[in-house]
Amino acid sequence: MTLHIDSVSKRFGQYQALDSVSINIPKGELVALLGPSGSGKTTLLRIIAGLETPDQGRVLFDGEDATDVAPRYRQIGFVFQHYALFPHLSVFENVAFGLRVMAREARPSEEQIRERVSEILKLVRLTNLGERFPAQLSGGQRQRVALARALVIRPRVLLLDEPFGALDVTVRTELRRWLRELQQELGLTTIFVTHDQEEASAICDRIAILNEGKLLQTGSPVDLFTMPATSFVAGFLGSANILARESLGAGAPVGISGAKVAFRPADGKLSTSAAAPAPGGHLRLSGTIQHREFLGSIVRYAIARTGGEVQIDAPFKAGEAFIAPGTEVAVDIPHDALISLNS
Amino acid sequence: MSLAMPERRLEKLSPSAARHRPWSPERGHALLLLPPLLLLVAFFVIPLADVVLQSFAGPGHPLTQYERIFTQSSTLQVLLYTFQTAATVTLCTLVLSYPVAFVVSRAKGNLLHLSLALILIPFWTSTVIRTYAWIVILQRRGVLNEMMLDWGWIERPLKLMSNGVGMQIAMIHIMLPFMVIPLLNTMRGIDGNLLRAAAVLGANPLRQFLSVYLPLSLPGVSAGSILVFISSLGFYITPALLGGQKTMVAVLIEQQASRLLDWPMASALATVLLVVTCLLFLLYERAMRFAGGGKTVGEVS
Ligand SMILES: Nc1ncnc2c1ncn2[C@@H]1O[C@H](COP(=O)(O)OP(=O)(O)OP(=O)(O)O)[C@@H](O)[C@H]1O
Ligand SMILES: [Mg+2]
Repeated sequence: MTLHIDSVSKRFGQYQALDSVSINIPKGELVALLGPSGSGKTTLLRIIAGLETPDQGRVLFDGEDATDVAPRYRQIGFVFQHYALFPHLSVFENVAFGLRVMAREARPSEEQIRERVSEILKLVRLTNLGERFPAQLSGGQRQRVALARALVIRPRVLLLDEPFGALDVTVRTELRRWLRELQQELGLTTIFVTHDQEEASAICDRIAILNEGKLLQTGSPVDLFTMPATSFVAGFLGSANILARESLGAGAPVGISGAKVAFRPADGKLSTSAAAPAPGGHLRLSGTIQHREFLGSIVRYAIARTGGEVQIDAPFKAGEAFIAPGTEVAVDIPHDALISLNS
Repeated sequence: MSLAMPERRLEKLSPSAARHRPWSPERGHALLLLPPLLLLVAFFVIPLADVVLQSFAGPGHPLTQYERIFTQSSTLQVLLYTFQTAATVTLCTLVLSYPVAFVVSRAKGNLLHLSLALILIPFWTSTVIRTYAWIVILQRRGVLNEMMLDWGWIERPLKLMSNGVGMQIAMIHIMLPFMVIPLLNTMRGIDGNLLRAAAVLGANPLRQFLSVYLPLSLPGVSAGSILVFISSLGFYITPALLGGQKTMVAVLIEQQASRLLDWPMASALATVLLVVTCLLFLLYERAMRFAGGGKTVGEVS
């Protein structure tokens, strides 16, 4: 099902939680909603699910206005930020809940319920845990129960609110791959909330970046990484050095238009022989090494210069000496690695 | 681990540091329990034991008093009436408190403080005063009857004082906070997202309540009910002032002890009340452990 969110705004008292947010999500797409804490991600999901009414704007399912439809008629799969499993019901009954509460005409028979729940439990690989209670499960297992419970009603849209938030890194990476495969297999239109940019880039078709209730930019992970529009997006997706354009002085290349300029730490090339001229097509910044962090495959140098500190990642080669703090260095950045930013 | 390290080093440095341990009931600090313990033993346990012993002391064989209680229809009726009253009061209190607790559990800010104050202020007012207030309202020529006569709802004043109805009304009023507070405690702990999850899964409001909210609020329901039921069983002031011809067991005990001077009988009645209360409490404990146990069995295995 396609999902249209049409200039949705929501205010809590004085606080503008969402400010005219619009996104179109085609059928079967997995969109990551990425943003810092308090940026309105959960609020947007709740509006889509009908748990919150927008002050302005509309939510359309397959082109049909659903803004005033009660949550229970929307047929949406929602995985809550902290799972919200029913603590008094077994895993089986948690998953069966959505089937048992159906209107009598639509409700499957007891036998069909058993069948569908077992099928879904198999899909999320929890076949033997049906009798357990949520308190007896690990975080990853609870996560999968929450997903099973959302999937059993055959939702038209799947909304996942930081589904892997509370899990450790290995479980997260495993689950996110599995989730992606499942989502593609079922062809489910999905919104995946996270504040982990790596997670968003890893599995999603598109990323939408939300900050302070505003949708800043949407695009494929590669587009957002290579062409961020603002310094917030540049800094949020991977690390970036952001410089005011005037601070570049005479070396500023033509073709850079915005108020600010960004480049990725890996794109700068460090050299200690500051005397040699900059190679053609490169922007040269000079400064002194301030600080050094060894991060395994790379070494991250912080370089102090007039006009702002920059960070440069140099690949680490075994046997090579680190550049000592205090050394004067030159940083050469190819012109095509410079990104102009509007703000 | 890393947090514990500096502490251990400290112990090595100064010998006195090794003796200075954080508070714990096992390490001698249990001595702090001694004063209240002495007080309780001297003024509660010993007199109580005395009461129990006295109940076996009267003329005839030791169980004479108990035989009287359970064979005389007058005492049996009092016991039965006491249980009936306690049950009615508990049920009515529950029905009245549940919606109140629900609303207050959702309240925020000033509304929350105001409603808590409205619940707690009567709770801090003396039971005697509140009972007298009810007498003023409910008596034959009281506020309620006068009002209903004026409005023409009734032709003759209703009897509310002599038949136990007034007593039950006053008891329900007095018991409300004892029900609201445990309910409130439980309800505030219920994650609002559970109801939202139920709604998204297709449950209508009634289903959300019956399948999710009600079961999760049951610990509060049972804690409040047992509190109100047990308190009502032994309630004295209100039944004494408002009971009319109907007698609750606490009133009967008082009559036996101070008017008829039948101490063994009074003691035996008190013992029966005590035993019933303890049994109910044990039953409640067992029920709670059983309810909680269902969720923890798997953790052990
Ligand atoms: N019911 C509410 N009443 C008042 N303010 C609210 C309410 N719900 C959310 N807010 C406010 O709206 C803002 C956005 O909240 P939201 O829960 O959508 O953030 P989020 O992006 O999901 O953050 P997180 O990553 O921490 O979950 C927050 O500042 C929050 O305090
Ligand atoms: Mg959130």
